[in-house]
Formats: sequence, structure tokens, C-alpha cells
Amino acid sequence: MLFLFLFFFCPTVSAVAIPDVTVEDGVFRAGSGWRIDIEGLRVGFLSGSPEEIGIQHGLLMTEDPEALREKMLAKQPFAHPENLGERIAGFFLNNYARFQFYPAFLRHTPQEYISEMRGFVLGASGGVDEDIFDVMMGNAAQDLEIAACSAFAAWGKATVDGELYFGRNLDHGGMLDLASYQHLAIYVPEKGYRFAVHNYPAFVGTMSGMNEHGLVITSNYSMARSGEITVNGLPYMFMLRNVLQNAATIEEALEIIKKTPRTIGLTLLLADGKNPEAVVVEITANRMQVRTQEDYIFAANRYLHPEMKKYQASGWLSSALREKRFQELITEEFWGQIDVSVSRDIMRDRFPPEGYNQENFGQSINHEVNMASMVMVPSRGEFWVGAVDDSEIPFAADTHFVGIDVRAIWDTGEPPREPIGILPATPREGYEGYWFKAREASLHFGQGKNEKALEILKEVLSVYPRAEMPLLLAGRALIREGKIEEGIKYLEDFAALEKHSEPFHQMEGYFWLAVIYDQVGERERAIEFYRKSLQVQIEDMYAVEGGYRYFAEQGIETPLSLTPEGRVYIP
Amino acid sequence: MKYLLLMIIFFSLVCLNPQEVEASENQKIEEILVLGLTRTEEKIVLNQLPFSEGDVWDEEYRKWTLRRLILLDIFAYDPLRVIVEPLDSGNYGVVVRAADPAFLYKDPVEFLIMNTINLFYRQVNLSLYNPLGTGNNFFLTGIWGAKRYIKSGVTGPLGAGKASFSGQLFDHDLQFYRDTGGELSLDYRNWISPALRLTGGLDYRTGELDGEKQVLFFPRGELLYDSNYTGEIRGGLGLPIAGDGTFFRLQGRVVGKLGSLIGVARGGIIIGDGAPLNYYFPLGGFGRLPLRGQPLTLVQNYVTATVEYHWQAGGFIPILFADGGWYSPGGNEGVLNIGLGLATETPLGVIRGDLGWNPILGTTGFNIGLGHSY
Repeated sequence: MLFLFLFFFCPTVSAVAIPDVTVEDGVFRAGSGWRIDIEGLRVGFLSGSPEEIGIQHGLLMTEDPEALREKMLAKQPFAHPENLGERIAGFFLNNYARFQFYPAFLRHTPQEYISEMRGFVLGASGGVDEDIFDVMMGNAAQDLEIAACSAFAAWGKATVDGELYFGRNLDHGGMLDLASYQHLAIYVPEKGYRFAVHNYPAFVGTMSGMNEHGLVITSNYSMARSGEITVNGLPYMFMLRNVLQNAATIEEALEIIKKTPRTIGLTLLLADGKNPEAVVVEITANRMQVRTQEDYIFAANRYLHPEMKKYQASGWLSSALREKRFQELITEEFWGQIDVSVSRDIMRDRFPPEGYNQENFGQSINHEVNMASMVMVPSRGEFWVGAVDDSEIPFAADTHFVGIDVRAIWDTGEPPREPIGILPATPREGYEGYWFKAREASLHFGQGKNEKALEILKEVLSVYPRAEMPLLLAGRALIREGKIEEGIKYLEDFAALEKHSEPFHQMEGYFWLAVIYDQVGERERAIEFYRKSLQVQIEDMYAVEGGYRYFAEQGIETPLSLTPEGRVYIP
Repeated sequence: MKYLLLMIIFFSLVCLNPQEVEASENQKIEEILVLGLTRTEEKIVLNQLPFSEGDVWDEEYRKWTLRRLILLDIFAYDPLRVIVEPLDSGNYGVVVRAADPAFLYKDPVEFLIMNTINLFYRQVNLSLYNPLGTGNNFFLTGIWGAKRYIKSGVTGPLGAGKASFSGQLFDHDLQFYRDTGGELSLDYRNWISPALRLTGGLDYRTGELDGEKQVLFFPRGELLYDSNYTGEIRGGLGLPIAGDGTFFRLQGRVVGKLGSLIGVARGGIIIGDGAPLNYYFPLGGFGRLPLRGQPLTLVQNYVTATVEYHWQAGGFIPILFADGGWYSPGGNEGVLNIGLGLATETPLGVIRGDLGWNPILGTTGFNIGLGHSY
């Protein structure tokens, strides 16, 4: 027994040389890797063995790895404990992750990626550290939290030249402050195909990428039922990386996905630029179905395949509205005209006021937590990325897009001096200017900065008094601030709008109005709005056991109360 | 009191329900995919499957497969699933999803808590889960105190079942006897249908019982039916080489539920005058044969019945229970124990406390433990 224990628990150690980083003409070099910043977009080239790639990644792709590490660790629950209870909970969770999640992820991860992670830690720490725990958990963090994202592919009759164009938004509220760390990494690995990914430092896996055979894959969350998810599998970003590195066709990619021990619910948009076609692969940890369509296809955050709908968990991520917009934009507004610029416009869509008798200022494909936006043309090896800066709010899809010819980099291994093009940022004026303000307010509201949010919302409403989302947010912010009477006014205006662009927000507005009427003792009005909120049909909400609907049902029975912070409770 | 005892037995049997079987559809299994193994050889899982490619899918296969895989005890708790998906061809693809656990534990919190509890009961249990990928677990158990023993062994797949081999050295200094020595055991266990499990085994025991030499073979068998109700019958034949005479030991148990009522009927008999004390049935207290209001005793024959009534009160499950029965020697007139329990669900399973009372003897018993007592 003792022999067996020793056999299995002895670590392996190897010595690796860390190359020096040199700089010339703005190009940072380490070994065979390099990094350059082009028009606000960081582009890196990583090549060699897994460990060499990892070291180049660690040395080149972030100037201050310790600051990045702190930022990533700060996302852990109870990273900053305020009391003994949180300290104990933090200790428990951290150790549970180390002794249960981490070994499970490690068991499923190919040695190549483990070596690359180790290389990253060696590079980033200057050869001092090689413990990959934090890096593995960073890569796997995407399997432990919920985000959004959406993507489309169009080809054949839908596009201007029949080539395949691929638009993709990465939407992740929990990672917004990492948005400015983004880079485009071009890989020439020792084994497998050459590929390029949009990524963040320390990520060995990826969420978006393209390879030398014109294969593109991106991931979008789709909440799957509890029996359909597990942490005992391969973190999904590694699966996408594996596809890019080892699949030349959609069929080969599907085979890899099928044979991967998966973890969570996703809708993967998988496209082939050389024989233009694309499919959406709808998966849970155990199930997989493929959705096909002619000339175009899109994916948001819910299953559309009839077989997979059965495994959709309840919740709302505004998928229906984004799907509707993809359909309208691709088939009605831009049919036959889709190119790079139009693809960017589709990902930038803010659901403009046409067809609605008030400005909604809400979110559409251009999602509230959009942190990266990109367009790929795999047949030409073009990778266009929105160049976000370190602003508090990335507004990624509205930034200027930088086009990079990754095929040239695969072939030469040398940094480009110029981008293949720049698509301009959205001008911050007119309706768009106020839309930016409304989104800023929405994020402040989400962070609990009510006064700041209200100041901006009132400015927007002074110009657009029937603006849907600002009315709702202002009403809710005022409730949080305890200004009930003033809140009623905004929410009544919201409820009186002839049309609401997003049923979920309509339900929210009615619900909060009902809660306010309960606070001022107008019970009949309160019940009227609880009932109204329950009557709103929300296509992409599925069964909801808790949340607004539960409270609305309770509110009909008994008046609901508010905490001083504006949280609703059943007295 | 006889009528009361008969009522308990009646209700314990009323709780038994007939099994319902889901209808199967006529789609064929076109493809079998084993997903998630990192050190277990795929053939170990494939050997457990009661179906092959080309068979018509039967919904019962799912339960049957899972029972066989769980029996091996080599996989992590999550995910362990059998998924059936329609393929474009109209047939089915079957995905068997399993994952290997860490070498020493399936869940670190469970490991920590269970080993802490074990230490409290002067016991250490360690398992090495399938370190070689061959499906073999190695285990070591040590207990000290009045019932001292050290036991070690190996389990592993054999065909569609599980075989185990273990050896132990013991020194039991108990209330009713003292036995010392060693025992070698061989076991084979297999789910021969989705609800029926068959076990065969052979023990070889050598040592001393109250100072007398005891050497015997004990071939044994067990049949377990587990569906909407549980029925179990176990028999063993004592074949002494030295010491007492030949004996036959048989016992059975039936457990059923009807809403909030749970009924358990048990019986056991030892045939043969030469049965040694360490093969008698320990009855009473909170052991495997509970009479929860009276102290432990050793018996040769018994029939008992238990009825429990559970209901939900917030996060707790209050319980009323009654244990009754006859046994010999010592309980020919019949006994009745009644009591109250309180249970709660935790991530580790049910934690339950019971207070039992024998109104005739005036004795009581109290116990806190994991799981229910039936």
C-alpha cells in the first residue's frame, strides 16, 4: 500500500530555460514568440513545444502578471472576507476547489495543456513558480459561472461574395474588468494545426478562434438542467482549443466534441470557411445535438434543437430578442450584403427605435455585458477584433475594429507592420450618444451605485422622456434610495408605454410598481400590477420556480415589504 | 399485546407495493459511447453493460447499468449517468458517463467528516480507488477497543459483477463471548437483473472462541430484490473442521413504503445444535436487527416487524416508530418497543436520532447516526 501511495503522489520536476525578453521597434520578443500592439489591439505569436508556448505567453502577454493574478483571484467568492463567517466560508471553498475541482479538472486535461499552463506560470513568475492551480482554476472558471455571448455565421446567398463571415460577441458580466487585457494570439504549435484565438492572459483554452483550415469555433452559454452539468470533465475552453488544434473539418470537430467529457451547457457555433457552411452544436455535459441551416445560422444562450429544449434550465438571458434581431438583420436588412463591416454592424446592433414608438435604450445583440466583439473571415484568414481600452465599461462592439491577416503571420512567423484595415468606432452623438450613457447608468445600477446611475438616467430622460430602460432603471434606483413616490412616477410612465421591447423588463416594471403600491398602502393597484406581471409571456424564461414570478404570486396573497436597501421580502 | 404485534406486522407488509416498469420503445442501440474515464480501462465499463449495439433499447437497462457501475465502487459520485439520445438514423446512441475519483476519496468533505466520525468510534477506513485503472480498489480497515480487528483486501470487476478478497485478524472481547483469530473471505456479487442482486461467498475462519479452538468454512449466498420494495434473503452453512457442529443460518428482510408509512419485516433461524455463539443473531439496541428500546441480546431465532411513520416539519423529519417481535431464547412471549425519532437531510445523507422505550422491561435506548435504521 505504501509503495502505491508513494508511486502515485511523487511529483515530477523538470528544468526549463526562461528566455530573455527583448524589445525592438515596438516588438517584444521571447524565444520564438513575439508581441506587438497594433492600433490598440495586442497581437502575440506563440510557437514551439507546449512548455515553450506557455513561457512565451507568460513573458509576453501581460506586463504585470501579479496585478492580473490579483484581479482574477479577486473574483473568487469571499476573496475579501468581511467577517469570521466569510473567512471560514472562503477557507472551505478554496480548499474544496483545491482538493475536489482542481484534481478533477487536472485528470481530464491533456498533458500538453498542463505543460503549457506550467510554462505560463514559469514565464509569468520569471521561473520562480510552477504551481498551476490558479491558472487551471482561471481556465476552468468559465465552467463555474454563467455568462451570455452570441454569434452568427453567414455565407452563400446571404453574403456579398458567398464567403463565410462570422460575427461574435463575448458577453460576460463577471469578467468585464478583464476586457482590456484581451489579445489576439497566433499559435504555431509543435503538434496539430496552426490557429489563432481571441483570448486573455493565462487562458490556455479559448472561447473564440479560427485555424489554418478555415475552421472557426466560438462558445455561448446555455443554462442546462442540474443533471446535465458537472465539474468532473474537461474545462470547456480546452475543448475549443482542442478543436482548433486538431480538426480540419466540421465532421472532425464534431467527433472531438462528441468524445469530450464535457461540463456545462453550451451552444457552439462551428463554421468552415473553405467549404462555406456552419452548424450550431447544442451540448450539455452528456448530450449533443447539431442544428443546421442554409446560408446563415446564429446562436444565443438557449437551445433551439427540439431534442435539447427538454434540458434547458429556467432563467433569462435575453436570448429570444437577440435571435429575433439576428433573423431580422440577416434575412431582411442585410441579405446578400453581409461583409466584414456589416458583420460588425450586426454585432453592434442596439435594437434601434424603428418599428417602436419609443426609444428602448436596452440591449440587443450588443449586450449589456459585452466585453469583446470580433469578426472572422476564415477563408481569407482575417481576424477583426474590437480594440477595447481600459475604460470602466468596454463598449467592445462599439470600439474601432482592427483587422489582422493571421494567415500571413502563420506563414511568415513575423509581426505585421500594419493592420489589413480599421473599422471606425461608433460616434458618441445623437441617439447613440445617449444610448452609451444609458448603458453606463445600467452598469452603475448593477453595481449598486444608484445616485450615479440616477444622475445619468435623468439626463437621458430629459431628452428621451419615453426611453424604456431608463424609465425602468430610474424607478428601481429610486426604490433603492427609498424615494418611493418619485419611483412610482417613473414606473407608471414605463408601464404606460404602448410597447415594450423586452417582455422580461415589462414583467420587472409591473412587479416593482406593484411592490411600490404595497408600500404606500394602495393594495388594489398593487394586486393589479402583480397580476399584470404574471400575465407577461416570456418566451426564453422557461419554468421559473423562484424570482419575480414567485414573489408576484406571494404578493397577490399578502402585501410585500422592502428592506431599507430596496430588496423585496415576504413579511 | 399479541394483537398489537400482529398489527405492526400487518402494516409492515401493507407497505409493500408491486413494481412498475416503464414501457420500452423499439429503437435499436446503434452506438455506445463511454465518456469521461481518465484511468479506468474502457472495457471495464463495457463489461458491465447489459446491452450491446444492435439490441433494442429497454428503459430498464439504465437502472441495471448504473447498479452494476455503482457496485464496482470505483467511480466518482458525479457524473455517473446513462444517457440515451436519438440519432439522425432514428436509432439510439447510448452515452455512459463516468469519472474516476481522486485516489483516496470521492469527496474530500465526506472523507474528512466520515473519518473524523470513524475515529470517534475508534475506527480507521482507507480505500485506494482504482489506482491501476484495472478496476481494483484496495482497502484497509482497523478497529480498536472491545471489537478489535484489522482487515485488508482488494475488490475488482469480474465479468459483469464484482469480486472481492479480504483477510482479517481479529480479537473480539465482547459481552457474550471472546473470539480471536483470522478470517479469509472471497465474495462475488452481481446484479443479475435491474432489481435482483446475487451474492456468493466463502469464509474460512480459524481461531478460538471462548478458549475453544474454532476452525470452519462458511459458504454463503444472498439474494436481494430491490425495486419498489426491498426483499433480501441470506443463507450460510457452517462447516466446522474443528470446534462446534454443522449448522445452517438463514435470515430475511422485507422493507416497503406506503406514503409516510415504512414497514420492515425480518426473520432469522439457525438450524443445528452446534451453532457457535459468534454466529448467533445480535438482536436489540440499534444494530442490524433493531429493537430500539431494549438492550442487545444474542438469539438463535427471531421474527420482528417495524413500522415507522415519517412526516415533514420544516427541515426536519419527525418519526414515530414501533418494533415488535418474538425471539428465542428469551423472547418467546413477544416484545414491543416504541419510540420517537428526528431526522434531517444533509449533504452527507440523513442524520437521525432515535429514542426507544420498552414499556414492559422499562428499558430505553438512544442513538444518533447516519441513515435510517431499517
